Amino acid sequence: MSARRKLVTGVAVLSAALTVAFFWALVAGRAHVPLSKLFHPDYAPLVTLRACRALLGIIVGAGLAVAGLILQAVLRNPLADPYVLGVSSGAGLGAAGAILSGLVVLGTWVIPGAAFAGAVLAILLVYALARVGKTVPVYTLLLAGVIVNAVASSLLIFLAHTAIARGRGLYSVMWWLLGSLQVLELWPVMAAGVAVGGGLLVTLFFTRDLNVLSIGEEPAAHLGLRVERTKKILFLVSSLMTGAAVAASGLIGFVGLIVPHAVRLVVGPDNRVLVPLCALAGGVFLVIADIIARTILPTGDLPIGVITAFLGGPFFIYLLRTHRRGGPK
Amino acid sequence: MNAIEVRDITCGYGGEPVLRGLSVDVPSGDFLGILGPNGSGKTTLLRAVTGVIGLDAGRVLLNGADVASLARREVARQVACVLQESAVSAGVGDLAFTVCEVVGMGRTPYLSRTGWETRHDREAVDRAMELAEVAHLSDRPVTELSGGERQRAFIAMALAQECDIILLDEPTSHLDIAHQMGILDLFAGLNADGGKTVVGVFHDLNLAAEYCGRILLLKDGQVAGLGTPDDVLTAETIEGIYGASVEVGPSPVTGRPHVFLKKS
Amino acid sequence: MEARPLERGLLWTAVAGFLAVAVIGTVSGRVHVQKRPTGGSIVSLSPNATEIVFALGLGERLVGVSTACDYPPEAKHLRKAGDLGAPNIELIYALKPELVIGTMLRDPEMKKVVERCGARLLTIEQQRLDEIPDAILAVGEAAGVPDAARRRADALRARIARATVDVPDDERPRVFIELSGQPLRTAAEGTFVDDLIGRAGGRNIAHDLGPGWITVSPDTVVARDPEIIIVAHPIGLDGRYALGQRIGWNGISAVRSGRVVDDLDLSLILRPGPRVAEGLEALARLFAAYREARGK
Repeated sequence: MSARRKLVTGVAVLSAALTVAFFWALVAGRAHVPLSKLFHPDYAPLVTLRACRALLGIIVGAGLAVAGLILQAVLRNPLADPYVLGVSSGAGLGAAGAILSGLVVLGTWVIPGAAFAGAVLAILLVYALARVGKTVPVYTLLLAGVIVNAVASSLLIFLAHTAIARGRGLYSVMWWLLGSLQVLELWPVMAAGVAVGGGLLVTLFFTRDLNVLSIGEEPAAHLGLRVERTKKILFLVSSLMTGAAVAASGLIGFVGLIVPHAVRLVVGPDNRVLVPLCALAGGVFLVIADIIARTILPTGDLPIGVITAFLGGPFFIYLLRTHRRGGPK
Repeated sequence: MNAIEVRDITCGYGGEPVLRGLSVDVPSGDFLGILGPNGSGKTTLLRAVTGVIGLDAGRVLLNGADVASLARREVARQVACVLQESAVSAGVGDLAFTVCEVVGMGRTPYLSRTGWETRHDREAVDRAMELAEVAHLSDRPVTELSGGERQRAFIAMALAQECDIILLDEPTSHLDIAHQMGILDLFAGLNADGGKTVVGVFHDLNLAAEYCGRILLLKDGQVAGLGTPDDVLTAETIEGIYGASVEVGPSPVTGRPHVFLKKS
Repeated sequence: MEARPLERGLLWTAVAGFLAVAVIGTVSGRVHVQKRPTGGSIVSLSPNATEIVFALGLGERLVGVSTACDYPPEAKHLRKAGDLGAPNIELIYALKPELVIGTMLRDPEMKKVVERCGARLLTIEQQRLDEIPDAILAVGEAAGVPDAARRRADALRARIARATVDVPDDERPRVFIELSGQPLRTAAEGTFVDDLIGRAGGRNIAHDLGPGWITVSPDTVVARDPEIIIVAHPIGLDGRYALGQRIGWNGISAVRSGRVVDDLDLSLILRPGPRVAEGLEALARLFAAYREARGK
């Protein structure tokens, strides 16, 4: 099947799946909403709430999946996920700081704002650490990401300890760290949507470059790619989408790792096909994971990060298998 | 018009420059071999020609145009480069592309960001795979190929670029003798019949002597010899450049100079 | 396409399993949504709020509680609106209450959540002992029974006053109350637990280490040598034995003399609700018995 046909078929199938998943999310939940009453004004507040949540799930799922795909291609590493360059711990630190300092009382925008600021700072720090002259070599990036993640995590643990000592806030921090799609207003969803949508649009212009980069930066340069410029743009886009996703919904893990691999398993490594399909598949995945998070326990909501983590373990076994099999001779 | 003109270039990777004041002209249709000890700047010279590294001084002209002023895509339409096996990644696990897809990447300089391949592109890819004799491996992931097959796949990728100038960076170093000859025969054919200019970095003096029309000897980033194999490959020159004692005599098969080892 | 049948098979199996779990979740355990709000219906999000509601005689108006609400026993049979500290917006909505009462909810989201459900949110804060009667008043006013609330609050204040023991400082036993073992937490000045200990005639060794709910290091406890230790969390069959296992704790007076109390009804002293006076009385009895035994 040619790449173009794969793309068209994939988009058709996944768009249908996404629509089904969306309506499923409207109907599913602890409170019973009969299908016939879906648009009834009586149930409107509940259905609107679920719709916002599902919409956020689509946006965050798409953003994280494509961000992970980009990093796997540019870093030429199948284990890369959107958080590998320090975004996650920076954002976590920002959010934890906001929660534990009590600044939360200023309004609901404080936590997402602080998280996004933390993410941006972390990315800038990683970039500054990794720069070698005018280039940003892949291995220094990975190293810098590890360092920033480690430092921010230790700060986070320190903050968590303070929270335990003061006897408050720890639960909220933990919840944020595990991710939640709960949203009560439309504006955080819209903000995330703009960031992720913009990022996706830009990425669509770079799908061929993503393919070419996979054979190496020097060969790619010989094929006419402006490698450093392309890398910078792609990292920026990936970080923007990840930062927006994390700010809106906390740290939802494994989406950026699992979805690209799963889609690749079905349609192959061509990024021209992968980028749109990963976006759609990420959306479907997260919406359904949220359905599970909202309905599997009798009274509580599970943090959605628990669901995705549950799938992460077996997934790593799969990755190990393929890595062993298909490695270069 | 010369395919490549290197005018007095100085370049390196930060720190000390690797090439200093180096000049060489490569006429169209030439088959030039670049030889020299490790660190003499052979690969650096190739990178300077394609413009992948910047020049501290001097100019490089491709078909008359300054490389620094050309867009990368434009350069890629004129010059194709086949790198050493270790410089190219084959992808890991499910990130590996098929031979056909990899060869297809050779068409990158001709495709827009959002366009799909045309029939012309597909035909160029098929032709390239035929030439490099990898057409039968078209749907295999590159990671599953042997070393020789993988090198041929990347050669096909370079051929798909449909360039008049082809640069080779030790393309046969890790291959067995049959593969070495096969690949060099291919480029010899492209040079003789197709009129392509071929510039190849060689490690093996005898292979260079057999296939190249001219040889450029480098030492310490400067030209140490330029001319036909007969002129350049003499025992004294080789001893002076490499520090190894050898005997040079004509090959009984082709008459080209052949280097014999003089063990002490 | 690539020939990777085993991995493909695993992928589709995983997808099928994923969808199956989602389907199960969707069709099981759904609660019915109320048609319209019943006049004056109340949802309580914490055990102490539940007890206050019942104490005010408003039990019939209570339509939902948290999973932690267990007193009075009738509360356990009511519909659930979430866990303690984690109210569930859909469950609250399904109950369509008019008034939602929660304790110390600092999350500004909560207010929005409740208002979305069409209800009013009342947050009651009780850190100190004398704030508990105030909380009763607040609930009563919000629920439309201010007079009953005033009577109940006054009664509670009176009972607390009566149970308060006046004992000279040097006769007060040194008391340590352990709220959790790992990390070691206790209550310092500014908490109702500290107030209870003081009013019951004891001396909280952690009083000056706060304010608030604090972690404390084991050597501090050893250094301050409490004469009575109250274990306010599950510690196994024999509290004294468990504490004695800790390094250096064998020398503590309370451990040596066996005055490790692990069988108190914790909901009396850890829950800032109407029964706190009973908790005070229980503690007072405990400390009085100690003073008597020591006097002999």
